[in-house]
Amino acid sequence: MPLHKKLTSHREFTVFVIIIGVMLLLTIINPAFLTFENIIDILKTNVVLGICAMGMLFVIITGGIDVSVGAILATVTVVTGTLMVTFGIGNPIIAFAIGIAVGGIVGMLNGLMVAKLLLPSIIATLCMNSILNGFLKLYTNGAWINDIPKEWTDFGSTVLFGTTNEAGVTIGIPIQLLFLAIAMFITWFILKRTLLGRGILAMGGNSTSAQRLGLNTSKLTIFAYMFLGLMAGLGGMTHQSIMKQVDPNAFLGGYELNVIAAVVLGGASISGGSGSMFGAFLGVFLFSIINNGLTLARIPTFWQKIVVGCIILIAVSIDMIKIKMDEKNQTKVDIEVA
Amino acid sequence: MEKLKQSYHKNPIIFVLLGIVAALIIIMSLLSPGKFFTVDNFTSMGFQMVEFGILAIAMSVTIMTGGINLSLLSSAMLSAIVGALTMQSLMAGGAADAVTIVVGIIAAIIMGVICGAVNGILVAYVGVLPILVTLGTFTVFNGVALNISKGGAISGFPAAFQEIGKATVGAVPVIMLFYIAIIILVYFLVQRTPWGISVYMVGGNEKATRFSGINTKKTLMGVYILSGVLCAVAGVIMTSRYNSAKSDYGSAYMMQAVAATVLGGTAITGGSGTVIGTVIAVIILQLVSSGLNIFGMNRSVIDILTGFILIAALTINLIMEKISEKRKAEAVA
Repeated sequence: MPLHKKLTSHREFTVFVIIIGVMLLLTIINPAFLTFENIIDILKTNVVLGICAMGMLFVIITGGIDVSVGAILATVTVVTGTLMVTFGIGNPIIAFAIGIAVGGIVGMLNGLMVAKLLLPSIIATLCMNSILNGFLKLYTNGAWINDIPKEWTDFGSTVLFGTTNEAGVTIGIPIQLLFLAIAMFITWFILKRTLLGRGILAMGGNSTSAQRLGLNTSKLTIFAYMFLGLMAGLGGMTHQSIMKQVDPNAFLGGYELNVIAAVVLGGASISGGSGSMFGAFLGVFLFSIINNGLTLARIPTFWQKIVVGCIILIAVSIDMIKIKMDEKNQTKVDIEVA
Repeated sequence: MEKLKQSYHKNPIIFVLLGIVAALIIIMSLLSPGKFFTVDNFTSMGFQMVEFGILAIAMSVTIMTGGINLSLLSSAMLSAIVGALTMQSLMAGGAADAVTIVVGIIAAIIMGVICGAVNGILVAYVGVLPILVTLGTFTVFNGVALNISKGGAISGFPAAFQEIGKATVGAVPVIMLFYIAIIILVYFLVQRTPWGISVYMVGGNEKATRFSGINTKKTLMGVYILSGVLCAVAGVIMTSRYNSAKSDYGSAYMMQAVAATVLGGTAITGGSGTVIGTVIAVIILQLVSSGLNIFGMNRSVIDILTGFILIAALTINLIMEKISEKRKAEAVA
C-alpha cells in the first residue's frame, strides 16, 4: 500500500491533521499558544485526563463504558490524603503503591460486576459511582484535606531536565509528565505486544468468536476494568502531587465524560474492538488544546461545557455514520460478487 | 379470586413489590411508633414522590426500548429554567398571573419536547447508542441551562404558581392528582396502543421489528420526546415546590430513576416492564428514604443504599433467569 494511503486510512491521521489545524488557528489568534511553556502547561493540566484515558481505552475496547472514573479518582485522593495526614506518610513510593492499590481494587469490583454478575457496564459503574460518592460525602462532608507531608509536596514539584532562565523561573519537564509517559508505554505494550491485549481487542470485536478461540473472556473483562482502576489510582496520585491538597469534590460533575470524550475523539469505537494508545493520546491532546483555546479566547466556562458535549456528540455521530457507510459498501460488494 | 390468580401469573413481580411495600410500612411503623404511620408523614411523602415518580416513568419508557436517558435531570432543569425565565419576564411585563403561569408551563414543555427531539434524532436517525447520546446531551443541556441561568437560581414567580406545589385536597397533594393522571396516560399510551406495542417490540429486537414493517425510527423518536415532556413536567413541579429553578436541582434522582425502573421489573436490555411496576418501585424507594430520614440518617446513605439495592435487584433478576432457564432445559430433556 502506498504511504499516503496507509496514512489516511488511519483514524489517528485525521485527528492529527485536525490537531495541526487547531494549533495553527490558535497560534494565529494568540502567538503565546505555541511556546514550549504553554504546551508543557497544557500537558501538565491534562495529565490526569491522559492517564485515565489510557485505562478507559481498555474498557471501551471491550465494548463497555465506565462512568465511575471520577469517583475512583476522588476515592484514591481522599484515602491516600487521609493516610498521609494521619500517619505522616510522605514517601512517594508508599503513597503511589497505596493509591494504585485502592484504584485497582475498585476497578476489579467493577470488572467482577460486569463479568460475573453480568450487569450492563453503565449500570454497574453508575452504582459504583453512587456508592463511592455517597461514602465520600459521608466521610469528608465536602471538607478539604490539608497539611499533606512536605516530603510529598516537594516530590510533586520535581522538575526533570530543569534549567533556570534569567527571570529565575525553572523551566523543564514536570515529573507528572513522566507518569503519563509510563502509563502510555504500559498501555501500548499491553495492547500491541501481549496476548492479553490482543485478546481484549479480539473480544471487543466479537465476544463469541473470542470465546471459541479459547480466550477467557470474563478474565479479560475483569482485567480491562481493573486496569482502568489502576490507571485511575495513578492518575489520582498524580493529581494529588500537583494540587498538594485534597478536594473531595474535584472530580464531581462529569469528569468521566471528558475521559470518554477524549478516547472516542481518538478513534476508539464505542461498539468495541478498535482503538489504540496513540489515538487515545491524540484525542486527549486535541481535547486539551480545544479547552486551552477556549480559555485563551476568553470564552466563559459555561460555554466550555456545551462545547465539550457537542464534541462528544459529533465524534460519536461521525463514528456511527462511518460504520453505517462501511456496512452499505459491504452489502454492495456482496451484491456485485453474487 | 380467579382474576387475581390470573393477574398474578401474568405479572408476579407486581405482587412481590406490593408485598415489599406492605412489609416496609409495617416495619417502619413498628420501629418508629407515632412518627411514620401518620397522615402528615404520608402527605409529605406524597409531595416528594411526585417529581421522582414522573422522572422514573420518563426513564422507564426509554429503558423499555433498550435505551436509557441519562440526560433526565438536565432536560428537566433546562426546561424548568426556560419556563422560569419566561414567567419572570412576563411578570416584569405586568401580565396577568394566570397568563404568566400558563405561558411559562407551555414554554417549559416546548423545551422538554426539544430536548427529547435532540435525543430522539441522534438515537433513532443517526443511530448512536442511547447511553452516549444522552451522556453528551446531559452535558450540553446542563451547559445551556448554566448559561441562560448564569449558574444561579431563578425565582420570582406569581404566588399562585407556588401554590401548585403546595396545595392539597383534604390530605392529598394536588400534584399527586397530576401524577396519577400522568400514570394513567402513560399506561394507556405504552400498554394499550399499537404504538406502545411497538415500543416493547423495538426493545425486544429492533431489527426484527423494522423488518416486520414498523417504522422503528418513529417509535424511538416518540419515546424520547415523551421522556423529554415528562422531564419538563417534573421540572415545572420541582420549580413550583422549591419556588426556584437551578441547573443542579435533583441530581440524585437520575440514579434513583434507573433503580426504580429496574426494581419495577423492566429489563435493562429492553422489551419488558410495566408503568405500574415502576410506580410501585418508586413508592418502595420513597418509603426507604423517608424511613431513613425519620431515623436521622445522612442523605448520602440513601445514595449508597440505592446503589446497593440496584446491584442486588439485578443480581436477583439474573439468578431467577438462570433458574427458570434450567427448569426449561430440564422440562425439554
